[in-house]
Amino acid sequence: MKKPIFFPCLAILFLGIGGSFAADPAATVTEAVNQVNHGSSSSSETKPAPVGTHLQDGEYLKTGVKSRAELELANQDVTRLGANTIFNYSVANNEVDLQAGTILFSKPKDGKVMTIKTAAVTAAIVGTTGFLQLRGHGFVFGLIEGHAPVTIDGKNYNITAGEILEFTPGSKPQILAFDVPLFLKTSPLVTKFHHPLPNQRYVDQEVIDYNDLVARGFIQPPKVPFFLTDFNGEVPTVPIPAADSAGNAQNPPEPERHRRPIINNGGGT
Amino acid sequence: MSGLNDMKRSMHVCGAGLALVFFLAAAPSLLAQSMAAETLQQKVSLPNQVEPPTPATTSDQELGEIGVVQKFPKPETLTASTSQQFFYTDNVFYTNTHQVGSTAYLGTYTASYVPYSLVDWTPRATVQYNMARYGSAAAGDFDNENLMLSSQYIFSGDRAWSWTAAIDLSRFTNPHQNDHEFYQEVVYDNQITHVQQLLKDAPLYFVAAYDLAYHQANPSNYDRLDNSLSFSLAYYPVESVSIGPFVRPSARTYVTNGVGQNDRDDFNLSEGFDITWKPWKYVSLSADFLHTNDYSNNSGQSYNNTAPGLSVTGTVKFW
Repeated sequence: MKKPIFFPCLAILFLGIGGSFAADPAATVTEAVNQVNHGSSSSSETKPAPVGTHLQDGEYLKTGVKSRAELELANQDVTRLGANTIFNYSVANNEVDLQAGTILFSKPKDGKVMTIKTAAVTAAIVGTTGFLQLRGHGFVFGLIEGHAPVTIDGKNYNITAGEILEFTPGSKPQILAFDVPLFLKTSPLVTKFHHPLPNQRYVDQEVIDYNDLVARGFIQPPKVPFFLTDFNGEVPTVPIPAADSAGNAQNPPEPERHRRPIINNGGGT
Repeated sequence: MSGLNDMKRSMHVCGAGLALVFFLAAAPSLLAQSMAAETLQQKVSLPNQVEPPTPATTSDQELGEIGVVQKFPKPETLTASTSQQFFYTDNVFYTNTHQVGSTAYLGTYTASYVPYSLVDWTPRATVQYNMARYGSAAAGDFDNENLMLSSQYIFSGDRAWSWTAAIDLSRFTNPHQNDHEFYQEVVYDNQITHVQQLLKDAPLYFVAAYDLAYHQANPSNYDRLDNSLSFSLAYYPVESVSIGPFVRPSARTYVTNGVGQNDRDDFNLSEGFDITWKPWKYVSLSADFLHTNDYSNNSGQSYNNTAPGLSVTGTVKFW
């Protein structure tokens, strides 16, 4: 009578082990509003992606008109998608591929690099909160907190908190400072989602730092003359010599000079 | 096995030696013999002026409002830097009587602290240690310690004009005579600086400064009042490279008479150029040339000095 109990237990054990061998999801949908679908690049079939949907490696997530979604990636990064966005995450390469639309990303500061890639730009994110919007063949990349190197056509640009990089094909990328609190107050990617961002405390600190810089005058409304933030060249002004008097004061008196062979040898005196 | 280890060790030594040779060969220097006064040297930032973006605020349905603002760089609270300079001077002791030439090394170590700053005001405390060693004139070797307190105020809306007031306490010791202190001075310095981008779309800058400095020295026969003008150009063919000539005429009035010195007035003229390459944000390599003519109304006090040099400077900034 004991055998019938043993076999179901064994079956449950094998099922459990089998389950653990199944591939870990690359990302999980944590918020979805209106049209949110997922699919594989190898198939034209798309399926609705409600909250709780697991995306496997290589699958994309797509939002429709007036839609939005939030994904938690396998690396704890939270990515929010605006409307008309196509987004793909590869666990193997730890790489986000944005094909269209707008995203806001917040990657915990765990020291691991995640790459955000589009046709025009590559950004290496270590522990950063920011956004990226594709505009035709151009884009806008901005950081709310942290910093990131951005590569465009093989050239690196270092973007820090409170800066946006605008790129339009045919013109030089431009780095500008932006109003971080205003963005946080007005961006649907911030205000229309319910979960806190993993780097929320760094975002809050950035707002405090921003307001401090405003109070001290380092951040002002734009006016003429306007200065770019991406060039920080410095030129030394001509120094004021003080060593000449000291050097002259070292000058040993004549009798002493002749007692110093090293000077006689080197200076030929 | 030990042969293999010996070979590895000698390869390491050889590699390190080659790296050092390469490092020294690539190195440059700023204004060679003036380095003891480097605490008085200011860096003038070069703002890149453009038309402001219009409209300043754009609204995007997905992103929200992006309001462009004007952000000025905040001075770092702590800065540590070192400069290693290798140069030649044809006049170690700044005298035309028994002129001594020598190769030289100058190691400079600087730390500065900015307790608080506003967009137009930067107070700063700086400590600096210099070590000068001459290859064939050891009598000229010195160690130097500096403490400087300065205040920089930018007083024009386009940030082109600034006023810097500074007090610099400096002492020089002889490393071969039990650190005998042979020279001290306090410099009370006031400087007005003007920076101008000469061409709107070209990274060519003009810097002019007027400097009034009183040197209170020990020995007191070096007490003097300097009235100096300086003019320099800086051209950035690429963002990491600057090339520029400079000239500084200066009238010097020595206020204390002494042995061989009576109502001494000097006209000091320095000119030269500097090429700096900043391959990495923490490191810069420079090559420079400095020539000075000092014309004194006291016979025997005039001097000429020529000092080409190379240096490498490393800087780390915090906060």
